[in-house]
Amino acid sequence: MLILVMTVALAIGLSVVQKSLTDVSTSTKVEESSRAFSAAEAGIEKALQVDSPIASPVALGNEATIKGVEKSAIPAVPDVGSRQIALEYPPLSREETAQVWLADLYSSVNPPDPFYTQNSLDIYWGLPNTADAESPAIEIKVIEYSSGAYNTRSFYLDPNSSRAEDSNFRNVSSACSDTLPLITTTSGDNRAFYCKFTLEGLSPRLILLRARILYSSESQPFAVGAVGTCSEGCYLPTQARIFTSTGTSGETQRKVSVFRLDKVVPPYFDYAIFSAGEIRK
Amino acid sequence: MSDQRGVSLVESLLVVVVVGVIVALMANLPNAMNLITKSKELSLAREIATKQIEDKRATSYINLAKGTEDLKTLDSRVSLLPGGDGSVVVEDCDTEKICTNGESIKQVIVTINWKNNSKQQTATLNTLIGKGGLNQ
Repeated sequence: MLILVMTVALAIGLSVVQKSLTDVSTSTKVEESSRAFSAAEAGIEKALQVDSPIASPVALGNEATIKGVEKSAIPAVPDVGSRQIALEYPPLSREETAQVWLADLYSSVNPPDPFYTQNSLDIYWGLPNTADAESPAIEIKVIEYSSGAYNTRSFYLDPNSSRAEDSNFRNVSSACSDTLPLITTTSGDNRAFYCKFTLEGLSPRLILLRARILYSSESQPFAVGAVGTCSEGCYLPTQARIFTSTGTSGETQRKVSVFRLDKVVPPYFDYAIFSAGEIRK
Repeated sequence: MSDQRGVSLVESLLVVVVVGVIVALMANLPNAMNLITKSKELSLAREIATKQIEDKRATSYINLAKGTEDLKTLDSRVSLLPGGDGSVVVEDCDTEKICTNGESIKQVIVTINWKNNSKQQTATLNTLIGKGGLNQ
């Protein structure tokens, strides 16, 4: 009996001690994690201001340090004879619009000088293994310049056959599958998408592409892949920068990445471009 | 010989050792409980500091006024910490050590102090907020 009581008391005592040690260890690590995250955000702020990477660690005080910030421009110019890797955006949430420059965005003339001059473009979107009702449709507007005026060409693509029938969207179920080949994008290797569709018949004077996901309540990936391997006019212009900042505190490291477009059109642009009719003041 | 009754030396030693361990554990129990309290307080302090950083980041740069604010007036949860108080300091970024290129950046430092078992505890979180930066 005595031994039983002692064993129980020993077990309780040991569990209390273990819990307290675990709690303290966890809360200390979480605090370090917060400090490291704030330092990583601070690194992003600093790098954005000077628009350049940070190579040497910067001590913020209070055991927090910006370890460094890397900067990369995307998409990179491909090697001669190679196809440019696809430009992937951060996942698009509902009502969010992705913008891809197809003309030279640094051009000082109006309309801007052409850059991507192919008549087709690969579009990738959607998460594989999404429920049928949630399968993402996509609305794409390609802004072109022809005959002295800006024109838009619209593509409404829906992988859900029955829904496409009702909405008069183009049924692209044959272009969508849970097992599409993985591709390399600016976000990394082996990226999975639910749909791949090639926009064809584009004008040689392309300006801009705007896209938004429809019907899906969750954020969906979106990427654009240039077609062709020629040295000029076959790849997309560099149009965004990715800053990746690392903050440290103690043994903890946190990373923050920011995707920043170089030039964006005004927010009201979407109201005009996605509007069914003409917008009047 | 085999029907002799009593307690062997090994049994006695075992009891002494077990009792010793239990006594040691019981002696440390208050300390262990105190550690649990400390970790809870640390977690709360971190939550408060993180929220303050998020609030400042949600403020536009131009409205990010320099100065020191009393944390108690900004977050009532500070009073849940024994002897809790603190400050939120917004100041120009140190141009000698951090913002050596003269960037338009402000430094935000959140400090929370409280007492645990009569010992002073401090949690500090600091970051930078730049003009045209994150959430701006």
